[in-house]
Amino acid sequence: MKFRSVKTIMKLFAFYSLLSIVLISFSTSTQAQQVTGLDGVSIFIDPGHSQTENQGLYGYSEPEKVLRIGLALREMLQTQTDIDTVYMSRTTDQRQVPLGQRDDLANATGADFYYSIHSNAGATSTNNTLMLHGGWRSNGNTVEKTPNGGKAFGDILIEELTDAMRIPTIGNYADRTFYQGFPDNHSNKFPYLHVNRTTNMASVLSEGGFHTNPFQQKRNLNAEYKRLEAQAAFWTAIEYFGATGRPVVGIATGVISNDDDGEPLNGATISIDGQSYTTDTFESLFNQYSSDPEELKNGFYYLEDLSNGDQQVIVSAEGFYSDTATIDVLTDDFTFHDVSLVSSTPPSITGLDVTDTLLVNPGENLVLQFNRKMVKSTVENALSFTPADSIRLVWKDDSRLEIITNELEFESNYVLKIDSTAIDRSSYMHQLDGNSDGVGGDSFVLNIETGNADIQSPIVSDIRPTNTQLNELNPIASATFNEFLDTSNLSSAIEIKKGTYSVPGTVKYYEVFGKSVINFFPSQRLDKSTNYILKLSGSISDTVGNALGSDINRTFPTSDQEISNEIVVDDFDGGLSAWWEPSQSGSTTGVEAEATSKEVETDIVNLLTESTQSMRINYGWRSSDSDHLIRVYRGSVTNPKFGNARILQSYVFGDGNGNKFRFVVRDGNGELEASEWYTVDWLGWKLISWDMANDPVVAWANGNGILNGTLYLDSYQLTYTPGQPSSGFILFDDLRAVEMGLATSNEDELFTDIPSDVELNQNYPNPFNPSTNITFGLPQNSKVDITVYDMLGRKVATVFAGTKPQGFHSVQFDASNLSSGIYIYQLRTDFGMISKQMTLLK
Amino acid sequence: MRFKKYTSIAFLLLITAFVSSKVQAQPRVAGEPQILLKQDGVNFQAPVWSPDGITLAVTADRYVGIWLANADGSNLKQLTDADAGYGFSWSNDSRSILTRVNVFENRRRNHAISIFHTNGSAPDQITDFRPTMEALPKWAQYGEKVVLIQNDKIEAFDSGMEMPQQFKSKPSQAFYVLKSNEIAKGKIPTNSTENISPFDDAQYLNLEVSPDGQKLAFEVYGGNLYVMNVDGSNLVDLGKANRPDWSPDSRYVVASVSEDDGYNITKGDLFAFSIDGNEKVNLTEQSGLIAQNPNWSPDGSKIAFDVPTEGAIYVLNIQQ
Repeated sequence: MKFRSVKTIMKLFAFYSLLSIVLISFSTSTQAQQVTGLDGVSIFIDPGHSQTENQGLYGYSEPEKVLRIGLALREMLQTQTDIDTVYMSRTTDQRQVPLGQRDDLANATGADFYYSIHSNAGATSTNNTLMLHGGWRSNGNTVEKTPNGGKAFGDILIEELTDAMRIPTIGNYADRTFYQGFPDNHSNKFPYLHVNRTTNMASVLSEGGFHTNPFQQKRNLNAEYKRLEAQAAFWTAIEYFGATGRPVVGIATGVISNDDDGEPLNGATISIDGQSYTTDTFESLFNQYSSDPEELKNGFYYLEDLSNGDQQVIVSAEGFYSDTATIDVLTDDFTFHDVSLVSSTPPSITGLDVTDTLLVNPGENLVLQFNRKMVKSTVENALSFTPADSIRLVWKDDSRLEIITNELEFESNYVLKIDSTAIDRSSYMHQLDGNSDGVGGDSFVLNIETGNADIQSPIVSDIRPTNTQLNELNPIASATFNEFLDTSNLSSAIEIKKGTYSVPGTVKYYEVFGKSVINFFPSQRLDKSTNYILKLSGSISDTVGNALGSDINRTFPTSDQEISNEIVVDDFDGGLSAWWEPSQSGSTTGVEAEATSKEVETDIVNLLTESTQSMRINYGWRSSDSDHLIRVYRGSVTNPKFGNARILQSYVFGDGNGNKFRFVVRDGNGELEASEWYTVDWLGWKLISWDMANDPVVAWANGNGILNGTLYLDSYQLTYTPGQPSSGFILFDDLRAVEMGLATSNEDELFTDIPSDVELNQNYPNPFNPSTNITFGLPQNSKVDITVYDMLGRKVATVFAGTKPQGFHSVQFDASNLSSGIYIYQLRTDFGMISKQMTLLK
Repeated sequence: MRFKKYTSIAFLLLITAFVSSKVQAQPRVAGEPQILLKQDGVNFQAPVWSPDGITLAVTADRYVGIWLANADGSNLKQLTDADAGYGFSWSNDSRSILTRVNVFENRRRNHAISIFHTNGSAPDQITDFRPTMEALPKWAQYGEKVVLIQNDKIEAFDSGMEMPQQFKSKPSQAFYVLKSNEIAKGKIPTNSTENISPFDDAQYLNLEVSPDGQKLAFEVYGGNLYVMNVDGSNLVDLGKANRPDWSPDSRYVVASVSEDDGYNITKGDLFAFSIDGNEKVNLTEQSGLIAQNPNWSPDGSKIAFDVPTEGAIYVLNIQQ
């Protein structure tokens, strides 16, 4: 039986061997070599990652891209120089090679240099180059690992690669300074990255652009674009090793785009010196990465082996005027030549059906979108509005004209006309094609009707807390309205009251997709087991003065439970670096890449915890797809761990679109388990809780629906609800795993004893197993962090992180996951820091 | 007579039970891992016990330098600051360390074989410095020789060390080396090799011979960890694991099972694998450490390993 399985493995290897030939590539070029001086040199090329991990936009992954750069670089070194040996860490998309094996192989070979090729990930708007060589700070100086050379190689490559890719750069850094800053001394005086730390030769890791940036990733899809990056690395290698000079090249490259909007053109053909190149099209390439023929365009071309000197360039594309030029093809560098082709299509207005009467209410502005850049004055001169009334024109850009309608009358009819004398900005001065039949020279005519005057009061819904359940002691009060409100007098629009006492707090107003929501954040904990009244003022009114009319009072009860122990998973105040971009996860599917992103939000935050930042996820679903998932993955962060009897909570700001989100954790068996989906049918902030001991657990990926052992957070996940809006956003704040316990006292009792200075009492019991109570006192309201460290100074737990009012408080610390020993617990407040020791005996 | 018979059977059963319990006993961790070596400014890694178990040799990040310490971590001293720490190996008498040293000049590395001595005497340089040395040197012929693969051919050198008396009457000792795509078994003095690779065109790494000389453990590049007999038979797949090392009784292999994110190793546990592939014991499950590069002490009581995020050498106590 065992013998058979081994046979099977042997067959697999035989198969892979056919695919990969041989991993280590010994080669001495048999072609005429133009470059000498590399005799005896060996280089180890490491295309980062494996298979299709580290997905980028459009389902094209980082390892697929960088492998092709590596293969092209190897081919250049082997065929154009006298280099002794080029090794590669992998030569196929199939093989999975861990970091440790890459470096073991490189070290065994004794290569002279290790070059690790990567591309970066981050926000969709970010794109740059970066070099990371091994180094750290010592006594105020940056120290490079030995043998030196990574910095020198990076200094050359950062210039070459940035020039080649024509994107910004953030430079060439010693790796530990990039990740941990520039103190006088790093505590770890060795390279930060594995490939720099464990290779015994000079080394550098390059990040060539961002595979999460749409502009960059569309170019990354192009086959020859990888040769461009490889060419930059090739020139770097021969300069670094002191070769005789660059071989003669004749490379013309650039982008062909639409002169009107700058968009790259698919299927444009460029001809130079008898060679021609047609830019990628949906049919030739992009169908592998998108079902939308219009989504992907790069306009990129790359022609090699051209004759040097002046060469005529002819560029053509269907629907555009041809362009010709002469370029000087350089012998020792790229010859960049970008081409903007002028459309032969006359200008027209898109997105409006002129055969229907358009209903526009005064105040709802109308945007006219032209398909070409227009000469604004000709449009303004050609535009008439009858009967004459007071409208205002605002150009949003050269092709978008906004018509301001707030002076129009209700229940009236108007005609908007733009005469054919409006012309585009091309030198061909095309006249307007008003009826969009493809032939210019006719007017655009649109009938407009305005609606009834607004005399309705705003309609309020989703008032929270409710009287249908016992509510938490720190609730966010909320009321949703069907329209925007007059914001001039909202400070006392919403109150939480006990008798005549009004709980102090902060009111926030948000507008979301034509609706609005008021949130109230009480600054005091409410009393347990008490009835409160949520009051909405009758003076709340819409933007034209229609008020609610009378106050709305809702009674709600509080529970007798409060958080007894809290593990903060992420309060997001420290940024989002641990969280992957949605498109980075290979599980993310069915999204519009450019509408889906992760970003730090500083305006909409949970004021209950005095939060300064939250995480905003913008989503755009491709509604025609059958599968929809966004995985907002927490990367390799495996802490903090928490037990499966806890309640996982997060404050969630909803957009009311009816799409869904859920929590996903990885359990002690490495299995992925999820909560049920929560339908986001609310506006504003709301606390969402997954009681992991009692609520359903749903298997995801390798999961089995059972939470085994200790857990850590894997991700938030989002999905689309068919028929609901396909774009929107959601915000997350204060993600935590809590235990609930009987509330210890009511607010009045809590404040009866107030210390004059911050106090931290000895934990009780002590020694303890496995839980103990930590009591502390605050002279005034304060931010509070209680952290536990081991005797080596390593943080082992966050007991509490948030704010507490003045007075004494007690939190419980559960050390089930820790081993016996002495630990230090540290209280940080606005008034100072105190530490004490405690002993865990198991 | 009957009494004697039953007594004999009971005695046999007792012996059988004792023997079988010895054979089936799994390695078991006794207590938490303890830090054995840590020093400011040095990131220790890749510990290797001397054959007599008295000394632990370690290197640092980038495999620069070799340090020696007593088995309890005391008396730490640097043997060399040379670029010499990758793939070094102890001599049988625990007095010397064979390695490849590298020097850097004009952005090229040159390599030579050297033997360092724990008594502090000057190292013996076995070869001139060469621009390429694509493999690591290995001890052969009970330490009397050093062999090296160069261009897939065996080069043999005198180590300058005398073969211990007890081996002089023994036949030539086989050695095992890695060629570019091959596990090769060789013999002195013919320097001929025999291909004992289980797979065609696979790449092999981290070949380790069992203490009893009967087994080999090795990694397939981009693949799994395996053990097999030294004649290439009885191949057993142990799964994804790296940097194997043998238990002194040759019944288990300890190796690290890791995950990485392409930039750094994010998880790492040490597992003891029985060589029949039927047992797999996580030795560091509760430690929370990223454990790498395990090395089993010659008496079987300890496993030393490194934690790359800390630059420290830890030790696990093992009960079998």
